[in-house]
Parts: sequence; structure tokens; C-alpha cells
Amino acid sequence: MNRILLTIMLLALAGMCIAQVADGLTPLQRKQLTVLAEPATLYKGFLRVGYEIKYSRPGRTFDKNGVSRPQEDFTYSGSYVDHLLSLSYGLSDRLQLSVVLPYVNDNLRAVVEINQSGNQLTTPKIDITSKGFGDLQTEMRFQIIKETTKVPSLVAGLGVWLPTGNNERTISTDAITNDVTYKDITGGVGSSVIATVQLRKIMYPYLLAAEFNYFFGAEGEIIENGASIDVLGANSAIWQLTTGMHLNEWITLTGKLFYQRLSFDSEVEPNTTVPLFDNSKKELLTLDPTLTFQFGRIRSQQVIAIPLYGKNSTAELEYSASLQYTF
Amino acid sequence: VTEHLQTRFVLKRTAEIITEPAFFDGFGTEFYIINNSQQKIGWEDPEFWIDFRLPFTGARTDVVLNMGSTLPFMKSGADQPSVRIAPSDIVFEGGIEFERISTLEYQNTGKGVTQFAYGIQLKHRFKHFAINAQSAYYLPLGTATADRWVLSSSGFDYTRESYTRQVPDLLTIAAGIEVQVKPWLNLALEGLAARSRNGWNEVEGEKILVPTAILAQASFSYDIIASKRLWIGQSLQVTIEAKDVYAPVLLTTSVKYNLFL
Repeated sequence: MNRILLTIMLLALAGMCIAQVADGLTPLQRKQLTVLAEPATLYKGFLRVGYEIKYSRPGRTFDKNGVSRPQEDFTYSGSYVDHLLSLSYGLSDRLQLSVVLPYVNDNLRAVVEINQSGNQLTTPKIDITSKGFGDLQTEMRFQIIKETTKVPSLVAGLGVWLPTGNNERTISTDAITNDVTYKDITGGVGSSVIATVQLRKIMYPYLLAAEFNYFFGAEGEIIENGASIDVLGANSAIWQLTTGMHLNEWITLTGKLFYQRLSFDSEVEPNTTVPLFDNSKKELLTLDPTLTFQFGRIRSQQVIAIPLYGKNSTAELEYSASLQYTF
Repeated sequence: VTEHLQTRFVLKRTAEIITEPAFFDGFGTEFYIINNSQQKIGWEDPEFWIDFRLPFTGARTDVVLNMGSTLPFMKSGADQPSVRIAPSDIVFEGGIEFERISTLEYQNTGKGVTQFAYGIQLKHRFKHFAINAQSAYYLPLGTATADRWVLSSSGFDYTRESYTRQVPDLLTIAAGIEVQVKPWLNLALEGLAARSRNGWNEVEGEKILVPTAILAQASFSYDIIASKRLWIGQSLQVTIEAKDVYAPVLLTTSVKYNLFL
């Protein structure tokens, strides 16, 4: 009996030692931890800067019944590109402050070919461009429970998106060709708030995490050709379930299921409260495989968001690549 | 199988969606907009290969002869297209409304015929780099019979029509240089070319030739030995020249797991 008790105690001691491995690391070694091995928030005094590019194209969409179809009415071409500059700082071993500044560069062209013989309408060609800095995203994350060998980490976060983007839209029509040009907004409608709860457990070389975000979208206004248009807030709930594994000491592969449900998002008919578009059933489920390399203090990451299911949302792939450095 | 003999089994899944330009038409007060798309989604015919590495070529040189076949396990031809007719959301100036007519054609992924394939791979290692070249040729054995769907002139009814076709042959050639910059990291630059010709489709008793397709691409890739069993690779493939073939930019990621060491 004593032997059994001793064995159990030794096993428990070994577990505690493994839990304290990260605590026994030098600061440089901590800065070199992979995305799966590091704590849920940055260590005190650590500063991480990052750049990310996101790319997608117009094409297929999920309709209101959840069926994936090519976009209709027009032939769409162009690209949606977002550049994101990020900065994260560990205020303490439990508290992290993050700031993300997006630069939007979206170009969309919609064209329809016309049989000139049968009607008197001219070719409708629409160019929509959004270019400039978007809304500044700030967030504080706090580790309520620090991870041990038995207990997962529990993190709560609160973020505010500040309306630093451009909320002015200009629409012009060419008098001869009837082509329409939109210079669209990059944000700036109002302040949004995002609340986060995350559970995360490292079982080296594996990781399991679940995260829930609720986004209280900004209500505000868009200035269209000098006139004000009201915008209803877009509240959305986001669930994320992540599993990951180390392929070796510095390469990790993760798979994330991302589900977003947008409760409302629309501009309002002038002088009314009637929404122009009803996206109240907007949903999107994606699988996001991610490959991450940790070269010392440099981290590179690639993600492909594969749409699996949705309603009133895109059905196109989104590719993103990022580089981070921890000071 | 032995030091000089290897077998390969290849199964590819394809997802190809082509959207034609939207087309607007109308007569009198009736206007409509037509959206045509084709999609080809599914597993391609499986490929079986035997690779024979020639002995007596020295430690620096590899010469591998390949012989294989694709088998017509997957469905070929087309399935019945779907048509949707609904009012469009868009209203033109003056309150002109119109209907949206959307057709979606479903192309199957099988060839409908067995193909014989053979090829050669060459590799020579220098002190700091290696050069490689490879070629493969796919030859269809006979003609195939497939279904297509013909639109009636009176409306959006489709009738099935069986037709004979000759699947085009395919020749691929690639050559490149690779450098092992670290014991676990390999970088490669490669030129790729493909030509597909001699195909035809039977239309009203006539053999209508499929245009010869030509594709020239450049590829940059890396391979990492993540562990003894796991290899990771990525390549970026861009098109230099293409004729009668879709030629998108390709970003490929591969994860290889070696079961037997």
C-alpha cells in the first residue's frame, strides 16, 4: 500500500515539475515559445509586434437557405485585401493589452454584358473601392485562472473598436457611360465593443482551446455624398474551437472551427427605420487550418479559412499570412 | 517494394468553378439577366504507378522510369443542369424590374476511359545543389461515351444526349534546380510545361476538335523535414504562358507522413 501511495505521490510531483517547466525558463526561452506552448497572455514586459495580410476574392456566396452559389446579377472581379499592424504588451503575467490597426484595400468591379438590340439601357459597370485605415481595435485580456497540469487557463477579454476609419462614401455616375463609382467607407461608423471568454489547455505536444466572443456592433452614421445615413448596429456571436499539435519543436499545425452569427447589420432607408438589407440570418462556419513556424523570436503563420456552411455570407476561401516578433 | 522499385497510388480531389460573364437581355417591357456557371467537384480517376530506379548510375545520379495507369472509376460526362428563375433584387432607374435566370452545370470528374501513362525522372547532385528533370505522358486507350445536356429552344428544359469523345492526351515536362540550405531545409526553383492535344467531341455526327492546350509555369518551393516521419512542403506556382486552359496561381501545401522508416 505504501508503495502505491509513494508511486502516486511521485507521479503527482512529476506532473507539478512539468507544469513549472515554463516558469523555469529564461526570458529569452520564453520569447521563443511556440503559439501552442506559450501562456494564454504575454509575460510581463514582453512586447510583440506583428504584420498580417488577409486576401480573398468575390465569387461564391451562401444564399439565405444555406446553399453555396456563384454571385448573381453581375460578373464580379477584384479582391479584398486587409493589412493589419498589431502590437501586444504584457502589463503583468496575467494582463495583456493589444492594439490592431487595419489598412483596408478592397477593390470590387461588377459588370453585366448587355444585348444592345433588345433594350435601351446602357452597360451598368460598378466599381467599389475601399482604401485607407480602418477602425483601431484595442483589447485587454486577463488570465483569471493560470494554467496548471490539471486546470486549463481561463481568460476574459474586453475590447473597444474606435471609429478611426473613414465613414464618408462618395458615389458618382459617369454622364456618358453611366458607369457608377463608389468610394466606400473603411469604418468610422461608431465605437464597437467586444467581450471574450477563453478556455485553453496545453497537453504538450497538443493544445485544445475554446473561445466565445460577443461583438456589440457600432450604431452610427455614414456620410453619403454629404448626406447622413443611419446604420443599425451589427451584434454578432462568435464561437471558436481550436485543436493543435506540434509537428516538431518549432512547427505547429492547428485546426480551428469558427462559427459566427450576425444578428443584424444594415443601413436604414432615409427618413425611416426600415433596413435596406435584411441580413438578420447571417451565419458562417469555417475550418481554419493554420501552419505556424517559430524561428527563435520570429513567428510566421499561414491560415486558410475554408467556408463549410453559411447563410447570407461569403463562400470563398480567405488566405492570411502573418509575421510576429517578440521583444 | 525493393531498393529499386516503388509503387504509388494517387487520388486527387478537384473543385473547379467557372462563372461566365453575366448577360442582360430584354424585349419590350420584359427584362432578364442570365448567370451561367459550371462546376466540377469530386474525385478524379485514381492513378497507379510503378517507379523503377535504375541501378549502376552512381551515388550522385538517379534515373527513375515510371509506368502507370489511370482507371475510369469515377463518373464522366455531365449531370442534369439546374435552373432557377426568380425576380432580381436590383431595380434599374425608372423602376425597371427584371428576372434573374441562373443555370448551373455539373461536370463530372472522371475521364470515362483508361489511360496508360509513362515517364522518366532524372536527378544529378553536385556539391552544393542538384538539378532534376522529369516528364510524363498520359495516353487514353480508346474513346469514351458520355452524357451531355442540351437546352431546348422553347424553354429551360434539358434533354440528355449521349455522345462519343476522345479524351486529349497529356504531356508534362519539368526541370529545375534545388539547394539544400540546411540539413532539414530544401529550396527548389522549377519550370513546368504541359501540352494536351488530339481530343475531340462528337457533335451531330461530326468530330469537333478540342483546341490544343498549352501551359508554362514557374514554381518556387521549399520542403522541411519536420521530424523523421513528417515532411512539410509549400510551393507557389505562377503562369508564364497559357493557351486554351485555365491557369490560376497555385499555392500548394503538403504534409507527408512516412509510415515505414
